[in-house]
Amino acid sequence: MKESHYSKITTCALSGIEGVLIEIELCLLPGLPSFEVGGNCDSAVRESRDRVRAAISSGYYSFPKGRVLASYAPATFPKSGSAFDLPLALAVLQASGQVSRPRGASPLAAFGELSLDGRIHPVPGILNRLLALEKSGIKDVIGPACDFDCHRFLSDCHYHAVSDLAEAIEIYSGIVPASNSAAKRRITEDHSENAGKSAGRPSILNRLAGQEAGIRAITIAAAGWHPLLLIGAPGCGKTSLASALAEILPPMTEQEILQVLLIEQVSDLPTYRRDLAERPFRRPHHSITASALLGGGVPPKLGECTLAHCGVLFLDELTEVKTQALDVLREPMELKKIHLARSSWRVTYPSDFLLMAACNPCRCGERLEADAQCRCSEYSVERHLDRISGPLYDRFDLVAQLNRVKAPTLQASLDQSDETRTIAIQTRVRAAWERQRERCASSGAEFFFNSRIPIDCLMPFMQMNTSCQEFISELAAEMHFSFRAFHSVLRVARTIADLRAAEAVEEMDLALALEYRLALPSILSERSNTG
Amino acid sequence: MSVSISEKKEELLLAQAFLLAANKCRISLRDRRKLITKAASLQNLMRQNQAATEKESPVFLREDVFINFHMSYREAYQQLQRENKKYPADLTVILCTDQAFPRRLQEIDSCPSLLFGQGENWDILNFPSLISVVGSRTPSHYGMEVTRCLARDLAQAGVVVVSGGAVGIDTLAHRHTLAAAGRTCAVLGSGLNRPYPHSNKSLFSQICSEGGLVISEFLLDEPPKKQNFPQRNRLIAALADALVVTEAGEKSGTLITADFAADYGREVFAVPGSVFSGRSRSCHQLIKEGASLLQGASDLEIVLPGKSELVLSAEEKADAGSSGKTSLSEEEQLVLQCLCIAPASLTDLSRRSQLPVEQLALLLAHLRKNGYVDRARGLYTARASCYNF
Repeated sequence: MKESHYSKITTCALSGIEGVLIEIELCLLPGLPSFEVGGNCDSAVRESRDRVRAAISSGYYSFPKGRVLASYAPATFPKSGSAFDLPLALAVLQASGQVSRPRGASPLAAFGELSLDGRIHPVPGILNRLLALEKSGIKDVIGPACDFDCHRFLSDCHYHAVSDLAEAIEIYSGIVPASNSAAKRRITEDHSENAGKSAGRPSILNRLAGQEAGIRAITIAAAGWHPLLLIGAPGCGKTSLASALAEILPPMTEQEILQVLLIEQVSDLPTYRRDLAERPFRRPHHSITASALLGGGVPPKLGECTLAHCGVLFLDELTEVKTQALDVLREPMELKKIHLARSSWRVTYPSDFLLMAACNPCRCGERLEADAQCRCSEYSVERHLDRISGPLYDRFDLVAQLNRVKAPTLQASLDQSDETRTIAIQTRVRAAWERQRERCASSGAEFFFNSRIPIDCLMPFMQMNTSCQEFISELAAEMHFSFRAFHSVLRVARTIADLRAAEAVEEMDLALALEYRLALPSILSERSNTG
Repeated sequence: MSVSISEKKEELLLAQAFLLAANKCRISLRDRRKLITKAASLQNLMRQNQAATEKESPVFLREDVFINFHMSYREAYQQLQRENKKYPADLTVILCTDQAFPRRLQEIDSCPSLLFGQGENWDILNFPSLISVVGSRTPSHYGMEVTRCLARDLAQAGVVVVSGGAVGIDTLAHRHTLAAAGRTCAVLGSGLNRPYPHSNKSLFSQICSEGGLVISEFLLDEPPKKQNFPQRNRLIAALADALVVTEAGEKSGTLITADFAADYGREVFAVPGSVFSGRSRSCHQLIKEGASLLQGASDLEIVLPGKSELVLSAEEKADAGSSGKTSLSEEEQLVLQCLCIAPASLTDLSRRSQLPVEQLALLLAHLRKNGYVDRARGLYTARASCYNF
């Protein structure tokens, strides 16, 4: 085979949030004009033939006559999507001798979708592909424009964002070797500007003055990464508390920012966070299905659980969510990731989210209010709350009961508005995180939150005195706790002690932790009164 | 009373066939009782049936009705035999002629001809003192506490507590009687093979296993029809020496029970509640119409002669209450005082008592363990032992 009739180019496909290296080989053969692609390609990839033909013909180049054969390797990996248009076009031009890569140039890869007139459209997962390509030693990558600064996450790989095929060819043939640094600078400026904006937003927490029970619950949840369920009458501030929770969580570390960006990149969603360090806050509607929550389809797309990675997944009206959808949450809550297997696809998505849910105590919602009349029968209340399955309920470390704020307090909350309160809570949460980190470091373990303390570390971490131990074991026996419930009470008590900046867990921490464990049984009052 | 299993099954079949035939021929309760009294047993009635001649027609029934009844009786019996349904082994049946039949029921005009029972403790219905306790299906914490204290005191004084087995006050009355090792009887508005409400199935079997009884006058597979319940209420009213309504809101079914009780000459007691809440409205109406006001189990002494334990236990309790309370710390007493004003959530309580939440949680945990405080509908509430009830 003659050298000029053969070409090879590297590109990158996606499997979940991971990039997978793909080699495209192309050769021109004598015969009737045809253009074939092979190697486990789906219809979107096969459609690229026509786009490539049109894009090449739209410029000053011509599509080769004769038989064109392209092969994608490895053939075992199923390929889908439109990101192979640009490398395919470059391979055609190289094989037909219309462009050439200079001798001794560094290894290059390309990806991007072509429009019929030769412009390059963005594709999902730019950063994911770049990281995979960099890992395999590629120095230059050509691709579509990216809406954030990718070079922040790259060390020695250079990304050339191009807007059309002509520009890509220039870079491919080494005419423009320098980086287009102007675009890079522009994006960095945008970014810093947005960061300033988010800091100036008024705090949601201020609007919640008087809702002390709720603020206490979200502070504990944020400090120990404890799953939280809020139960209260309509309009008592459950939804605002969810936004406030996202607000008081400390900003993400560089590593977390990267993980979240990788997820966002493959999600087809525009970046909705103004600041990259701001934690994701996902709030799907309660009509959500199991596959939208968990991820699914062929190829498997990610769901809300993954989009909320490192952030908050807020499920409002938990009792209205389909039970089937709710129960899929159990595995990601334990494993912090989701394995999806669909025909020939095996994908793993990270999903380490802080679950926060809210629901009404009964159909009419008034059951917990002292001065309002609840019209629901015991049976209907039971049926209402039974929609949360026992195993899922058991996984909520904190179940907080909220009451409406009384009118005089409400008035006071409108009068005073100080930012210091929010900042004070943020500082307390951050200090609690620091304490947990130190404790883990001193015991030689990796960092984990209080909600994830392994059982063998639990007792040494608690540092309880004997009267505390008696107190908790007595109560546990009385309340018929499951193992999981018992441990979750201990973990929450550890977080409460951390928020007090105390070394040892005391009886009052345990009492408050119990308070959150017993909220739900006490709503079904007839049961609680049998003792 | 030792009867073999097959005999018991036979009795159940006969009783059901009798009810089916009597219902079909629209025979009145009084005539049903007469039929049974005349034949002395259902077996005899069936035998008579086999040799039924026009001559044997009793004077109180029209001839055609009597013949019709006998035919239906036999048909129903054969039909049931063919169906051969399986019923729980502990079901029993009692006829109005039996020695063990509740004598208080025999006094009333609409006494049922026979009763089905789960368990064999028929003797408790002829005990010297029985009290019916009924009330709302959606009680407030106050109503629950009143029922709890009353059931406990009655059980301790050896009084049998009768109620309807429904959710709410009825369930609490049964439960707390059992908790105080007392005996209790549930009168159902559905067949015993379809106990209603279903959620109380375990309670019913507990009642039977702990010396109590669950009874019903309906066919074993009768569904819980709406019209059955007033009919059931008349039994609750008739079975006991007095009726106590612990809490009942507006348009409560307990008013029907109270009417029956008054008709049968049973004393009616009602526990007053707050005039603001509306949850004791029916109780207040009863008091207005002449029911006695009930403050505690000791008020029942007038209808329960020889039950001086009731008065005694109430006095003892008052003593124990005041002496027990002094052992509480100052802060615990403060919390209780705040709670006696009205039930409160943890946050409200913290505002009221000016104590930090963590400390309050600990105090409440101890108070709850010692039975001073309860958490109902999410709110902390002082239990009856905090008041000198």
